[in-house]
Amino acid sequence: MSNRWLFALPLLMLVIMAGFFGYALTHGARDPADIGAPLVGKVAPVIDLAPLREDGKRLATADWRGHVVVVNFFASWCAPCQVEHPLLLRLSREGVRVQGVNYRNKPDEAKAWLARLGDPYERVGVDPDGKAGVEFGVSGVPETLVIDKAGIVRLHLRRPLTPDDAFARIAPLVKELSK
Amino acid sequence: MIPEIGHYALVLALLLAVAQGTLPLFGAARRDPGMMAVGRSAALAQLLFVGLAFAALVHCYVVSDFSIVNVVRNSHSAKPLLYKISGAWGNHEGSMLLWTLILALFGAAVAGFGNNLPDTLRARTLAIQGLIGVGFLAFILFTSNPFARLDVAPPNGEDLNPLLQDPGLAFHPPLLYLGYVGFSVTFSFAIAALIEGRVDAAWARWVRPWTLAAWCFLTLGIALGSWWAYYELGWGGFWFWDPVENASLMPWLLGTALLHSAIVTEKRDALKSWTVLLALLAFSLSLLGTFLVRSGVLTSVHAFAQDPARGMFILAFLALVTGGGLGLYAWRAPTLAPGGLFAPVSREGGLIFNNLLLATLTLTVFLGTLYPLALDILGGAKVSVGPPFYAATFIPLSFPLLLAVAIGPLLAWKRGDLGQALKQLRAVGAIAIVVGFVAAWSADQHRAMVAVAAAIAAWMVLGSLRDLAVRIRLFSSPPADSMRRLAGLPRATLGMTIAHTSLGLMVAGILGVSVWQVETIVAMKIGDTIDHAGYRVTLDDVRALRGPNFAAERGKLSFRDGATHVVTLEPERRLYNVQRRQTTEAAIRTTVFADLYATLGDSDGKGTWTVRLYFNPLAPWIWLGAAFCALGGFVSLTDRRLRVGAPARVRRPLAQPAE
Repeated sequence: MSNRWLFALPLLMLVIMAGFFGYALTHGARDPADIGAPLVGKVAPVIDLAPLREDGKRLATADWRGHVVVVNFFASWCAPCQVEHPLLLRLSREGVRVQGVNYRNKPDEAKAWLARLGDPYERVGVDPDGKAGVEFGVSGVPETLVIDKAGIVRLHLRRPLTPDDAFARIAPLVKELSK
Repeated sequence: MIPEIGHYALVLALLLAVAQGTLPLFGAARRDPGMMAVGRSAALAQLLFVGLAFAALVHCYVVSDFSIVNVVRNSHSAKPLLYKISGAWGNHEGSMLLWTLILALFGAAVAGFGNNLPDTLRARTLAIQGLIGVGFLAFILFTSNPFARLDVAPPNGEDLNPLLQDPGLAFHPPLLYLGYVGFSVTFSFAIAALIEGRVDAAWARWVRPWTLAAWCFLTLGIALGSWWAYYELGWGGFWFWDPVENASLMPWLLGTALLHSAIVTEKRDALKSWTVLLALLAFSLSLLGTFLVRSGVLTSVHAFAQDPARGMFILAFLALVTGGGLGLYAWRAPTLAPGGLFAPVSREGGLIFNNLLLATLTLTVFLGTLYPLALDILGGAKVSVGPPFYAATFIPLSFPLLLAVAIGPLLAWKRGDLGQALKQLRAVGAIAIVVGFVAAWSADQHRAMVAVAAAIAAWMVLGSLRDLAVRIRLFSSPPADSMRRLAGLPRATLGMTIAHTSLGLMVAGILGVSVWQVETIVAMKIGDTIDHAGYRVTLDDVRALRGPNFAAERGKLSFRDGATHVVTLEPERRLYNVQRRQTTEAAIRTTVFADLYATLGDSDGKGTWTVRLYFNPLAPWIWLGAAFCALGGFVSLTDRRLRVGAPARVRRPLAQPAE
């Protein structure tokens, strides 16, 4: 008798799976591409990265205390990074402290890239194997975070910045947090 | 007018499918030959009407009829003819129509070639095939009409995604669907057998050619898709463990298991309910793939038509088809008479080992694919399961399976002698161990894994070839005698040897690219020379050129080895006019042992280009291996055993003109 039930096992598995998919399709406007920003509202992860430039300083979370910073993950091989680059330069000229994490990139190529396009970053840390990226939960480059004086992540954008992102969201947010 | 004819043909096909799905079932229950015969004519007529609808859609694309929504969305008048045609199935609606066409093709093939089948089995098989057709035709007509018109036709279309404008991708969907849909036939056969309550050696033999054909096409389809990713996406990879790739891999794995378990059912009348279950699940997983791609439950580079209404329809259909099949299985399978007995170490035992591992591998891929989705739905974290998961599970799990490939065929039926088999493979094993050590010595990392994989590749290739050499008495009898023996070898055995050997080559190819790939990414000016994998590479020139619907830059890279010029590669970077999307066209020089691979990246506008160069040792073996694997299947398909049992048809000696 118990043997008979074994033959019904595949059917049972199907029923569970189908119920699951049915629930997934009908409940909530779930966007599978949106992976959210779980860090927002939490303390920024601790990183301490070697500098990109020989004469630069280390990029460390500890040094950000008391300042509002914008942390930008970038790489020279990333075309969208090049697209958003002028916006970072403008933010930096307006006094925003932009920190760069050079993600999975060869230092020479990153240096050449910054020399060519201009350097908006107060400090640039190198993350050759993507470990800092894992700490911050980035899914790729470019991604940009805003961190307040207490070290709490306030904004996390997983896309190349648009002018609206830079000047209608990031700049006002930095200004407000800096008060 | 023509689109309306196509649309109407689909409606007629749906009505025919309803007839095909019902009357032969009643006929078979009542032993009414007239009603059973409806199945054959309906299946043939269905092919006619679905073919008509498909031809109508292709016609709309070829003449660029921009009053059709589907054509506007996916075509453009400047597109080359091949991509106008392939654009017809490069979208959700058209690809469903292609799917249905192939379903009808297989139905008609069963009707046309199934002369050796008992009437009731054929009628029931065709009926199930018809019922599946009802589902897909209703899906197309009610949710995904490819012939929908536009009120005001725009002057031109939005063009096809440039990545799809490629010869590889033009033929990838048809081949893949021939595989997916081919499993519908084994599914229908399994259902028919469950209804009749009889699964025996004859049944296994009737199903075999269909399984083989589906498996061969699926192998080719997957390989073509992977090859496309390799040369078109431009970073030298070939498999990404993307959910949709996995969705095609799962039916392939189970289909492979089915091919092997059906042998046991055929030769020894055993493993019946397991074989039937595999036949049901292989097609169910094909349907699951369709659901995952088209419902929008997950994100993937392949996902298209993200529409919950369509998702619900396919889900309901999937539940009905698979649920019906598995319900019938739960009810009828326990009554199937158990077959012959055998010792654990035997050919049967080897094939069960193969099946256990293939089923486990399928389950691994299944969990890896659906776990992130399940976690997300349950409100847990967002996770992605990628290559590290499969490297830790799938790859080590596949090792014992691959090891067994060379041993299994040496075991006797009923009761085998493992010691004897291993003794025969002593020399092969020794060479494999040496190969493993050499590979580990030349690798930079993961040496243990590399050693095992390399040894396994050598073991599979040499073990299979040794078996063949022994069978045809190579070296121990005159060459002419060996050739005669080779020609006289059963095609199924020859096919098996080809497939197993090529699988070994594939393992070697995958290992070669994963371990010894050399990657150079540099910024080059015209005239610059760099070193790459032992070559001096010079960027001679970058020229602008215009294609029919794109503008491109074509680089000229000459490779020198010392003073001798080896090859000039000309990679392109294209910008398609309508969608403003860039594609890379890698330039590849393939030799027997390696690929030289170059792509041209962005320029800074001041005369510097990013150039990516790869040296991919053994890369060609991956696709050659896959192609030969499929070839082995086709060779096995010509085995005369698969035609024995057909009534000897006496033909008039004169050739008949084709109708």
